[in-house]
Formats: sequence, C-alpha cells, structure tokens
Amino acid sequence: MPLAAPIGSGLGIRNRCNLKIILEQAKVPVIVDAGVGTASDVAIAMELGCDGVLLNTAVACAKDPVEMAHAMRMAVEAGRRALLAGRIPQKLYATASSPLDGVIHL
Amino acid sequence: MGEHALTIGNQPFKSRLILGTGKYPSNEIMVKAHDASGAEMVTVAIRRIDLKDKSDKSLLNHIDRARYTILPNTAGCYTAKEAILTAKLAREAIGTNLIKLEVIGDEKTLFPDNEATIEAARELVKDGITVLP
Repeated sequence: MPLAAPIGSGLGIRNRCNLKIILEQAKVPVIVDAGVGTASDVAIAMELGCDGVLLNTAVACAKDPVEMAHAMRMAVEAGRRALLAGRIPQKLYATASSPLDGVIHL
Repeated sequence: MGEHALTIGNQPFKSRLILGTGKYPSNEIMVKAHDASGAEMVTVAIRRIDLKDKSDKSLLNHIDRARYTILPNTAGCYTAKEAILTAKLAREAIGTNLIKLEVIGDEKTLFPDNEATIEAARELVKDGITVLP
C-alpha cells in the first residue's frame, strides 16, 4: 500500500513515476494508501493502474463528507474505466480533430 | 463495472475504494459517507478504539458488519513488536484475518519504518494473517 504523499497531507499524487514502477513490479494488488486530497487524485491513481485507493482525511475532514464520499466513488470508477478504455498517446503538437477526407478544395 | 473485482485475501470486492473511520464530525456522518462512497471495506485503528465499549458511542457499533468488511490497522505503532501484538489483538477482537500493517518510523512525516514493517509482516504472514503493508 504505497502512499501518494504523507498521511493526512492532502497533497495528492506526488510520486507518479514511483507508483508506475511499483505497479510494474508488484505481484500483489497495489492500493494507494495515503495523501489523497480530492477526487482528481483518486482518478489519477486509478488511471495509473492502481488496484484501489484507501483514504480517510479527504472525506472525513471535507466540508461535506457525504458529498465528498460520493465524489470519491465516482472518481474511482472514472479512473478505472479510463484505464480500461486506454488513453490516447500524448503528443507535443496538434492533430486536427476533423477528418481530412473529402475536404473541399477552394 | 463489468470486470474482475478486486481480490484481497480470498475475498472479492466490487468497490475499489476503502475508507477510514477516523476524524469524522460524528458517527452518523461517517455512516452516511460510507454509504455514499460505495465502499465495501473500512479500516479501523485498533489502538484508537475502546474494544470493551459496547455502548451506542462505540465506533464498531456504527459499522454494519454484514455490509462492510473491517480492515483493522496498526496505526499508532512504532515498533514491530507493538504492530504484531496489535494485529493479533485485532484478529481476536474483530474476527478477521486481515491487517493493514503500519509501523511509524518518523513522527513528522509519519513515513513508515520499513525494516520494522517487513519484520512484522514476516511474523504475521507466518501466523496465517493476510497482511496489507
């Protein structure tokens, strides 16, 4: 259960590359266990391929813990689904979104 | 989500979220948050609860054991010996083979004492406990 940042710090995923290395080498489920601050941190952990997230302070000490708990539930699901769906490669330059087939020549 | 569940020990979980049970404004809000999170497992700091308290105020009385698997943890332990004892106490008190093992190595960062964590994990695994270090 690697931490993302110190317990209760809410700093989010501070060690993305370390987590990737752990995920590559671990033969047991990897559950991020500390440092999560908000829902996007959870989504990132899941997108990286973590098997789960354990958190306390981010929900318990949120202004509205119940609403934050709901957000965390959706973030786990969003991140997991994105991982399974397979993200597109990151490129430095733009690629047009519209197809170029049948383009009208002016 | 139409895929294999998370398996811990031999137990499958549909939810990949595990929540804690500390620092909530009230036990009632904690129960509602657990419900909203969809979690099927919650972790409890064995050293920070009164295992003898059977009253309504007891944290354990606010966790529906039919719905949530309790993952006891060794928060607050600074040596392998303390963590091993806490894990064994948790097994008896909670009736689970699971333990989230943590041995604190540094007060300011709360980073783990890796050597002590490994030592305790070895001992507990030998004893048949499923260790989440």
